[in-house]
Amino acid sequence: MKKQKAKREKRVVLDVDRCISCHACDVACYESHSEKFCLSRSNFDITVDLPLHCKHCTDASCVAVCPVEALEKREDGVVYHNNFRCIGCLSCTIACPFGVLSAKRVRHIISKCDLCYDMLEEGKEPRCVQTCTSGALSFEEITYEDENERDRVDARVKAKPWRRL
Amino acid sequence: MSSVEEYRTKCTFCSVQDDIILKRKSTKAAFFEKGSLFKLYYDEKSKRGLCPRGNFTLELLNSPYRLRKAELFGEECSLDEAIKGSVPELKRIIEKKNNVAILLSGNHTLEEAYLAKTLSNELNTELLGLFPFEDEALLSIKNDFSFNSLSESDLVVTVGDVFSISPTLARPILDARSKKRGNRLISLDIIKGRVSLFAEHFNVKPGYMSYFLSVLLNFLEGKSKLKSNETVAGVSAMRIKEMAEILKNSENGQILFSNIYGHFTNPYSIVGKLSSISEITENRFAVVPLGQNSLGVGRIIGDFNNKKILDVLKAKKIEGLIVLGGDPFEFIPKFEDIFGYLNFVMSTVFFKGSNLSECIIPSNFSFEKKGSFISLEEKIVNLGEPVPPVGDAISDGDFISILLSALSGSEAKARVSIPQGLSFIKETDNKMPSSITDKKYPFTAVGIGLPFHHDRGEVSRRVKWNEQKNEPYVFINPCRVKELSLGSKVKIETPNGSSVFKIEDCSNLPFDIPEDMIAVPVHFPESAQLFLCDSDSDGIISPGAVKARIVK
Repeated sequence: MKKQKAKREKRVVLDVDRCISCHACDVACYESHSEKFCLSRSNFDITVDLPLHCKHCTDASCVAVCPVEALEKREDGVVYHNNFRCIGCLSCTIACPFGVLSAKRVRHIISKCDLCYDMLEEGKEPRCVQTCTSGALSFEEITYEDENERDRVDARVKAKPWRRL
Repeated sequence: MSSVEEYRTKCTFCSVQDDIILKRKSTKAAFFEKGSLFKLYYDEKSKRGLCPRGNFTLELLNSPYRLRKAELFGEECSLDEAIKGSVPELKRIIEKKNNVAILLSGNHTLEEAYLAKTLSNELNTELLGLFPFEDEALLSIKNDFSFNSLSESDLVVTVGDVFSISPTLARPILDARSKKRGNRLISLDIIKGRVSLFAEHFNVKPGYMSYFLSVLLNFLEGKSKLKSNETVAGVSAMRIKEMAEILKNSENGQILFSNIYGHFTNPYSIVGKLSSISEITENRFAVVPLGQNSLGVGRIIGDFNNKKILDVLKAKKIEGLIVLGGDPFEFIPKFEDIFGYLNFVMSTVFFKGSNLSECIIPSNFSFEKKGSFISLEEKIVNLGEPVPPVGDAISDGDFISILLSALSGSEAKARVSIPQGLSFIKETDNKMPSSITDKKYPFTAVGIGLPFHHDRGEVSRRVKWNEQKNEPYVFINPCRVKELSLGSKVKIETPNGSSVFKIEDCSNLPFDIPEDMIAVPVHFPESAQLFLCDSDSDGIISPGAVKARIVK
């Protein structure tokens, strides 16, 4: 895996007021990641069915608990999962504070969002963002000014006060 | 050495026809995983992404369920053998006029539709029809629609669940709503669908949409007045007046109609009334077809034949049936009964499973063929470079050409007529429909669309993405399930027919199901049994909201 130099980090942001729960992001992700489920779904309420992305935390607890160092924080901010090291122990799924790492193993290992780094290297956006039918997902830059703020609002979900559910 | 082949083409599933790019890297790798040969890219020009069905393009390319060989009388054979074996049978049948019917799917190219018209002349029949049947309603109007103008609209009125049928329209619609303060999004439907979560929703009683629109139309024309305490089809007079005001005051509004099997009663009347409402209020109006090219195919066919075809099939008056682009068992109600009387059934299909027709030809998806389409915006668009198809699969156009040569030795000339539009479409019907439910049938069965399916479901029928759903299911309000002590499976019966369904968890839906409703996802062949129609009042073969009961 070629490491990239540190840049302004970009993350997938969800505008909950636009998501129509069509699952196009799930399918695009599944099709391009050798049929693995890298996105989780929220299950808060019957009217809320939203995609949940890995937040690629600054101080990622999944990286800290992994016994075989299958998870690593790259210089570009992506928390990368190495398929060849993973032993499928599920420690990371328990450690994840957002519950976005699914305990469902595919071919004995976990599946995790890699921000479609192959697309990023081509200068494109992750597949889930590209395919989003309603424009709910966007790939936005997190400025350094936001750095301190970022962990506090790490869910990275834009919620508007007038959202009706 | 490796090289990259690029195929720029169109998504194969709906009338939005999004651009896609398929890239294939040819390399001499010792090992590659399934699907690694092709990669799917989204054309950055359209900025609309792809819906779940569009994303399945990759899966379709390599699907193990694709039919790869032709079949004649249940035996695998080559394409030549299949055509040679079929020709004598067809020649015998076509000695009598109108003895064979041809049904053509709305996913064919204009060229294929033209060839199908030629084939119908050669087969001595006028029985050439379009399916999905509900798309017949759009033949009589011209869509006044463009993606640019949609996202600039100050008002969008959706009739039917547009977000479920064509999810990629969600972005311009939501853009329009949030563009300026005061822009409106109104959803008019018989069920709280996906659009209703984002819109001001008007919930009309199932079966009463046509009546509701006629009341609104008369009010807009000033022909009738509404009493303040009056309720029309479940909507209060005050809200109807409010809606009329919104429609009148909009400067560049867009009305969109989207139907699915079993959802709306009298969709023809609904289209006619919406067309009149848009004229009076000076808003644009468009119908979103289910088929990718139903607009183009329908106009080349040029006649409203679906009802005639279903009538002769039901009366067992014909001997042959040719279905291009689908399995007749999936969409013709009670086809098992009709099938026994037909001497020869020929179908071109994409997937394995329809092994009952006498002759089955493996067919191509649009990204595997050349040709042109009419888009939702009424523009002619060309498909790009075709992707190499699997097995012996050929496009229906090539198949028709080979069949025509085998039948006549030369290509026949076709007469292409222009559809005439039905006169009764503008007529308003002010009669209040009689109640759908009665003591014997206390429920209303309503067809609903889910954006996650195609074909028989082996490939992608999932309500929750990670669960395969091959068994037909319905949604019933959990309170009624508890009250009636229903088990996991129920038999649903309507005056048209009955089928057994699994009761699906309603929490998989983003909306509630009313207590007196059975919501039936329409992509199962079993669902079609419930909505069979004899002679619908406006002549279209798409009945909706039928009375139903649960047989334990």
